Amino acid sequence: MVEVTVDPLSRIEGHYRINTEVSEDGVITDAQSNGLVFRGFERALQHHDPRDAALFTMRICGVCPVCHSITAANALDDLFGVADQVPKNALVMRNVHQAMNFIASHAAHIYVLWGPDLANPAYRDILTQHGDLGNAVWGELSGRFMPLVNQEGGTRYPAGSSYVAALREFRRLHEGIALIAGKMPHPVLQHVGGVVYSPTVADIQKLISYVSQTARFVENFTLGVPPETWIENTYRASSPESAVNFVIERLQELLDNSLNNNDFSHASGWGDVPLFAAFGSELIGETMLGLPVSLKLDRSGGYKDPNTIGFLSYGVFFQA
Amino acid sequence: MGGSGVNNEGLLEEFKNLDFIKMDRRTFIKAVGALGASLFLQTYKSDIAKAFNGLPETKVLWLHGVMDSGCSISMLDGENPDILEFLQLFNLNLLYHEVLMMQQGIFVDGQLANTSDLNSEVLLEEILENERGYVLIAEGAIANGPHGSGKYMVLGGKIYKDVFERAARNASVIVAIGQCATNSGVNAAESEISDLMDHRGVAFTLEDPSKGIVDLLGIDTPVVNINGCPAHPDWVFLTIGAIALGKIRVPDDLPEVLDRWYRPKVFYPPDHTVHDNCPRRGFYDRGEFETTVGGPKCLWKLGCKGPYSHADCALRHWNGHVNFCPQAGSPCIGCVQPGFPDSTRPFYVEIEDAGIVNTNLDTIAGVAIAGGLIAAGAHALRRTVLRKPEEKEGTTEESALERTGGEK
Repeated sequence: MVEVTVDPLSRIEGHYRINTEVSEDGVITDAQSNGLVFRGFERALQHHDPRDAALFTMRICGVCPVCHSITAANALDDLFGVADQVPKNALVMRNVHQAMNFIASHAAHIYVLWGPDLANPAYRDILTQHGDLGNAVWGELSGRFMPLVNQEGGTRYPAGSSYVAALREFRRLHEGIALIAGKMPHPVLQHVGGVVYSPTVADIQKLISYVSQTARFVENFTLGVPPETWIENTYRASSPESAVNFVIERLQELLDNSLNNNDFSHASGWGDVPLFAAFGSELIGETMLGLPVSLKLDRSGGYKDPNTIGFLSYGVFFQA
Repeated sequence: MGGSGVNNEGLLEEFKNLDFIKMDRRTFIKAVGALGASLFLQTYKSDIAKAFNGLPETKVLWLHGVMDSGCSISMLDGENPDILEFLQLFNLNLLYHEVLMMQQGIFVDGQLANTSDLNSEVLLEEILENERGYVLIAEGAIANGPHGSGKYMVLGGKIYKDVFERAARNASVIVAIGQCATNSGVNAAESEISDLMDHRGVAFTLEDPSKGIVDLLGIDTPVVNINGCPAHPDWVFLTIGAIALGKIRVPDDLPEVLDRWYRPKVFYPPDHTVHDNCPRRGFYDRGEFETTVGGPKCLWKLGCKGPYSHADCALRHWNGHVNFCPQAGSPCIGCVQPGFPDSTRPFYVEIEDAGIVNTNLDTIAGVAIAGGLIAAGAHALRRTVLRKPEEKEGTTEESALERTGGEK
């Protein structure tokens, strides 16, 4: 048994430690997580004007302030007995506000906080054992997901293309939040009983534009197909099987075009999701598509019971 | 020195079209001092995206203490320059940043594993051991509690106060970004346990200059404060840029360019508040005030702290320069002021009236319900209260000036 500790767990908001016990087979047999900072927010609200909470509590997190703000506003609605009087338009504004933060947080989480793990040199050592194909895939992973601060053997690599593009979307969505909520992080829209701002027609048009531009990022970088096509064939597919088939057929099509020239670039249709699906998973990449190598990330999880693994429901892609 | 553009119109014209990158240091300092309000920065920024070669590398160590990473996020929201342009333009070598770095801290059976390429704790040790004269960007407060131990923040098995001390001693300048770092901010908010937690700002804890962590630790590295919750990316990038370019010499120029809270006067002008350029200012001048949220008029009676808050928010605006708090319908909560949040809460109460409605929930509920309805627009119950213009003590620029004491 080996004790492996990750501390600090970087690339998150705040400070965190993970303690694990790893068996000789490389299986994690025990784990604890620890928050390493105490800020006493609950206490700082006591004996003060309760209305402050909608602007105060969000300062617990600079990445997801909106949900804390809305939660506080909901609690205040209850406290003042006005929960059933909050106008529908105010609820819509709350939802739009939260949704914008939700999308921006996806950009941050996937590309800035988690994505850099795919550019870990440990994966280079696995991939580059497999000739031109392995080298090409490593080139894509490191060229897309390298974080801003990195080093290897005295060399600094430029931040990855997907990483940088996701930061642009993050910034754009935050601008959208600021448009209706003053600024971001720590927007000022939420208030007991509703919200403090009613958007103009121009604001609404601009918000649509912000989100449309982000949808183009999702097409060009994330999926490699328009989001509408993806949703139509997965989320709205007639059955789980047809959704799986759509993904696999798409991957097969991409592979047919790329295996000769080892071009796995965004431009050749390899969005980040297809690249990750094909080369991240042993089951998809090696077993189903016959690829010579994968990162075997589907083998590193803790889903012992195959029946609990559903399409997209647990972060993996299909029924075992 | 009045810091007022009004008295320096000739000077203002003279500086208006200067590019700060090309400006010599003396002119820069003169301009920063003379223009007071942020007019200067409109030119200060204009040519910033131009390629700049030959600038020596400046190393930057970015540490996160007791905070919410909101200032890192705010820096990611910066544009013209954005964070990548900022680092390139000023030839900054960002050595360590907990949110933006590849590495994690990894221990195997309690021992550090791998090298600094793969282990952030090895990297941090190497930096603290070997690097000198870097810019330390301090984001977040420093935990001193419980009982002076600093154990309310432990990172990589080390007490953060100790890490900060080592990093701060060997820095050429500490740039504290955001209210948690500058004044401890919400971490120091009054509560039954605030003394026990004892989260400290770098040079101040709230308005107390004797409670900064640097004093406690006997560190004499110069400190520049970029206040705000969060700090505006322009304020941070342009201050550090000016230091990297040698426009602001540390420590020689600091007494001239900083106010007594160590804030660059150019962004936190002693003679200028958020109120001065507020789009609702016309309503204030006519004595037309909102008493519930959601309307277009002055938010003074809803507790707006704009008249007390020395920052260029109303000129600069946030996130692509699209908006700022009072424009979006919320009273300014004074997040750049040293005493924030205690000196500015209750957020929705005029400073003179603070404490009165605190105990009367019925009054607040009445205001709040109407506010919510008006905010929503459609079926709003609009309750407009017109008032005669009132001269309030404490709203004039003169007394606002006195509150921050930013002038010599």
